[in-house]
Amino acid sequence: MEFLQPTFDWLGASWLGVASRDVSWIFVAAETAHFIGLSILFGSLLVIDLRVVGFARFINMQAAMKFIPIAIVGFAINLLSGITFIASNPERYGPNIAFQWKMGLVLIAGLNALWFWFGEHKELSQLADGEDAEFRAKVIAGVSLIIWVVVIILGRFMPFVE
Amino acid sequence: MEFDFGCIEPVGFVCSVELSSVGLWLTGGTGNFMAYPITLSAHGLGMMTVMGVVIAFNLRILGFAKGISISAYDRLLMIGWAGFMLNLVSGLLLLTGYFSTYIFQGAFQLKIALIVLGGILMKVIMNGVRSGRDEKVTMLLSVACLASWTGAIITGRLMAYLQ
Repeated sequence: MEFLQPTFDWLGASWLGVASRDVSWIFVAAETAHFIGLSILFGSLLVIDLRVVGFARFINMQAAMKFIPIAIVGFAINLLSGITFIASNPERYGPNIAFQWKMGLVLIAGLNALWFWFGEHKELSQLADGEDAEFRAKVIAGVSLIIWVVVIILGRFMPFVE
Repeated sequence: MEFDFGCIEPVGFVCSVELSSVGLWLTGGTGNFMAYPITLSAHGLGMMTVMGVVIAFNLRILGFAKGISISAYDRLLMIGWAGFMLNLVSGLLLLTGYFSTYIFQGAFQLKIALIVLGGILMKVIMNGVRSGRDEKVTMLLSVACLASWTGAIITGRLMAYLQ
């Protein structure tokens, strides 16, 4: 991830980098926020994706879609806390193999979410309670769940592959 | 990677647990250095699952996404239970390996208390929904439930810092 290193260094020199190194509780608070943000994101995705996959078929699809903005809130919390981690130690993350895979997968998950929104969302909203989604939509939802599970595991592995 | 061995010899209950074969396996004392990161990852995944389900469930109780009938959450709650069992097992393994560090630690004790409280509140909320209790009371319990689980995450994170 060498192409991002200048950005990381800039973050490290910014007020956020300075503050996160000087104030002892900022990093810990960001970690806690990162856990809670991911729980918000993952919980929202469980509602939506398990419905589409067909495991929780009796969840009303249109109501489940209301969790999309909640998922985005969770993601935003994690984007901000994640940026704080990088700012606190810009040399640490770029070379980390678990971090690289994690970022790659988050990118794929984002593209997958865009496909869900622009390709499937309208059709899915019309599903009746208990009605099965199309196979294509099930694949997208399943891929989303698998990617986020792997993202969680990779995130936890980051300190161990340094 | 540094391992913080609190115990040197298996003397007394606490150190016997920490230096048991399970404890040593977790901390890498038997030469298996993947045991700790794998168990910790499982604990993270279980936590996201439990907390995710708790958040999604309580948001509904608080009036969000009313189109979802609460009984439709059954399957989701099953997933939450699976996450909880994963964390019970991985948590016991982690506790065994670092028994002397955590068993007397205030952050750990508070975390367990908050998990028990949060779990009981989930049950009380569900019972209230089924028996048609006053919605205001249920919503108040729901706020307490979210606060309790959030507290469990905060104290869990602090466990790594308040040795």
